[in-house]
Amino acid sequence: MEGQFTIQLETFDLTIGYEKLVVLSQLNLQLKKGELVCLMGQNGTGKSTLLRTISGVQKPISGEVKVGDDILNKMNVTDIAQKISLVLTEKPITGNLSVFEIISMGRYPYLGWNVKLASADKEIIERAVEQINLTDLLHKKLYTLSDGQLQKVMIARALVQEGEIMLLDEPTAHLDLNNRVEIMYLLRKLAKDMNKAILIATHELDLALQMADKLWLLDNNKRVLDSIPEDLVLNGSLDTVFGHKGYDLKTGRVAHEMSGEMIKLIGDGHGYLWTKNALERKGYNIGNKGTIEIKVQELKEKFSWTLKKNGNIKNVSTIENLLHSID
Amino acid sequence: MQLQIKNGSHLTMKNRLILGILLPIAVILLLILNISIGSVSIPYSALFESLFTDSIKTSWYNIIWQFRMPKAITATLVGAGLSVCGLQMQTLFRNPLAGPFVLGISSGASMGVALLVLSGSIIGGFVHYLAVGSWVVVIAASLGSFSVLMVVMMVSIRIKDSMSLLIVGLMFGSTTGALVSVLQYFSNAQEIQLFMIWTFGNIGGLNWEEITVMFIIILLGLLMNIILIKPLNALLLGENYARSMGVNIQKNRILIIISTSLLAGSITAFCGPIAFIGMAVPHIVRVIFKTSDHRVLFPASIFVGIIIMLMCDMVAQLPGSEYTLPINAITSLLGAPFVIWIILRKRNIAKSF
Repeated sequence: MEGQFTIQLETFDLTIGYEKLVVLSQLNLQLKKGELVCLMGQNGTGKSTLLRTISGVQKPISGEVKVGDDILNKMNVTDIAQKISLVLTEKPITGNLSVFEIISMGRYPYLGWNVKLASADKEIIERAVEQINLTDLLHKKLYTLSDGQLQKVMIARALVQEGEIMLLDEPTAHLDLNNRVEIMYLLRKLAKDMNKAILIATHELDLALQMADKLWLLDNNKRVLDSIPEDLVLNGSLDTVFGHKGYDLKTGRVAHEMSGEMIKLIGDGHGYLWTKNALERKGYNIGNKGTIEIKVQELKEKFSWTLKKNGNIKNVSTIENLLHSID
Repeated sequence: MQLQIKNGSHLTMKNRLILGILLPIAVILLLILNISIGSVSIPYSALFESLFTDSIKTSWYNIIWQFRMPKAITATLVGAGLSVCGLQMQTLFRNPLAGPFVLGISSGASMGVALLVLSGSIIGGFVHYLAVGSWVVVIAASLGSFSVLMVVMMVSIRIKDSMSLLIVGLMFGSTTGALVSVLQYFSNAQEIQLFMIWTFGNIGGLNWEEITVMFIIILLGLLMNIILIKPLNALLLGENYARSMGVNIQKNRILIIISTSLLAGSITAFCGPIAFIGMAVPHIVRVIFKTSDHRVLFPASIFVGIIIMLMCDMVAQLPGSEYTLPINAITSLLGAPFVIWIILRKRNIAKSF
């Protein structure tokens, strides 16, 4: 694709913060077309300040932000609106607008005082609605939407604004797992298919690790580490920043205190994985040998377990019964 | 679905009918009804004759053209102006309880009038001939609201968020209210009565000259709303979203304040404080039209505002009697139960807001 991975937004020695408080300093970051970047860091380290600064709401202390070929602070609000669109955590004050009305507001930077949509505008809206699968919701009022639906509507609105850059502040907060994954998939698809440069401030480490092309990791020394997620895992940066307790980042699992006996687990596939999961949660060590032996069998999508303990053999049909039997 | 978007207008067929036909007809009918009611009964035939010719008996002609028409026109201007003000303030401050006077405009005006009327006993009693609606009172009220407004403007240029502006406006309201109390404390009964009568509101005291001035100011304030449709719609998503969609918040906030002060300021100056209309009408309109789009809300608020003001005025006339009740009391007396009924029916005002 032409123009893929060209730089859309770049910061030069950017120092941000408030009058007497430097929040982050000496940032030299690049946001490229077609890239999904997750902005991560502890609470209060400056994610919002950074988003505010690169969206032009707040002036930097020093250094500058370039959007395309323009310097952000010399652009007027309409020019910025045509380049950068936002999805924020704040909710609209009204519930009385329809989904269509909200989405069409994305065209405001291109419309005159009477906010009349031209047919070209309507086509753009239509495309976004189809892309994000909102056709059925189009004439629903805002107050009837679920949090996840509302978030999709706000993303559609941002998409209709047609900026090359999309900045999102915690788009998956307050959502359940299904919606979280769906939203992240959607954003990833927009980055790839529409060639957008997308920056997401988020706390969802697990999703970010799997979806982001890059992480901007705010360390606790007012710097931002800019790298691909895997490198940040392996070099321990993520551990340093978040100081995880009980979560093993390299395996992506919660760590358990292992104090129980050794268990020899035989089997494969999902049955093996989830049995292991349950046993580890109970504190057993799983290995190739042990005084207890468990065999996982799968027959026509039904699982059963054979437990050998002290010479006794027992067959069970659920993991719960299996755990009881071991005790 | 293609059809849905391609033909999508901001007005549904039903709303188009209400806005384009039903409301204008209601306004015209109520205007005629309003003029026909009064302590002197004038037959409709004579009424129409005196509206379009001058061949009718002079006392009826005079009653209609000197008293009833000016009052009806004033009611129309007041209803339209205050409703639009209320709408602007509710959207700007994202607060369903906001009204035309949250910026301290009416408290400023009342302070001006209080200084004029009540300082009589301090400076010397020269103001006893003052009537509500006379130019001296109008100028005092205008100066009062203008001075409060200047301070609010200066604050609004300095501060970034509208919530602080709302609080500052309310603080000014309390301060001027306290000043007025102090003035009342040092005044004699006659002066206090004069001032009280001003606070009752009066839409029947204006002559054609004053109405012309008020008409021009209100027209100006209403016309400004044409350029405020887009920013106010965008503000429904919150200030940060509005800014991200290319709306200059600072500039538009000042335009909104100017428009509101032209409308609410001139109305308060000429007619005294008139409560409730500004706060209630936008809610009624949202319930009728089921939208928050200001392209619909602006014209609809103007129509509904006029209708309610004309009705309130007719009730205040106490048809069949010689008494006229204070209009400021009637607007609240009739309006409050109505809004409570709407809230009970809708259960949750936030949904329709």
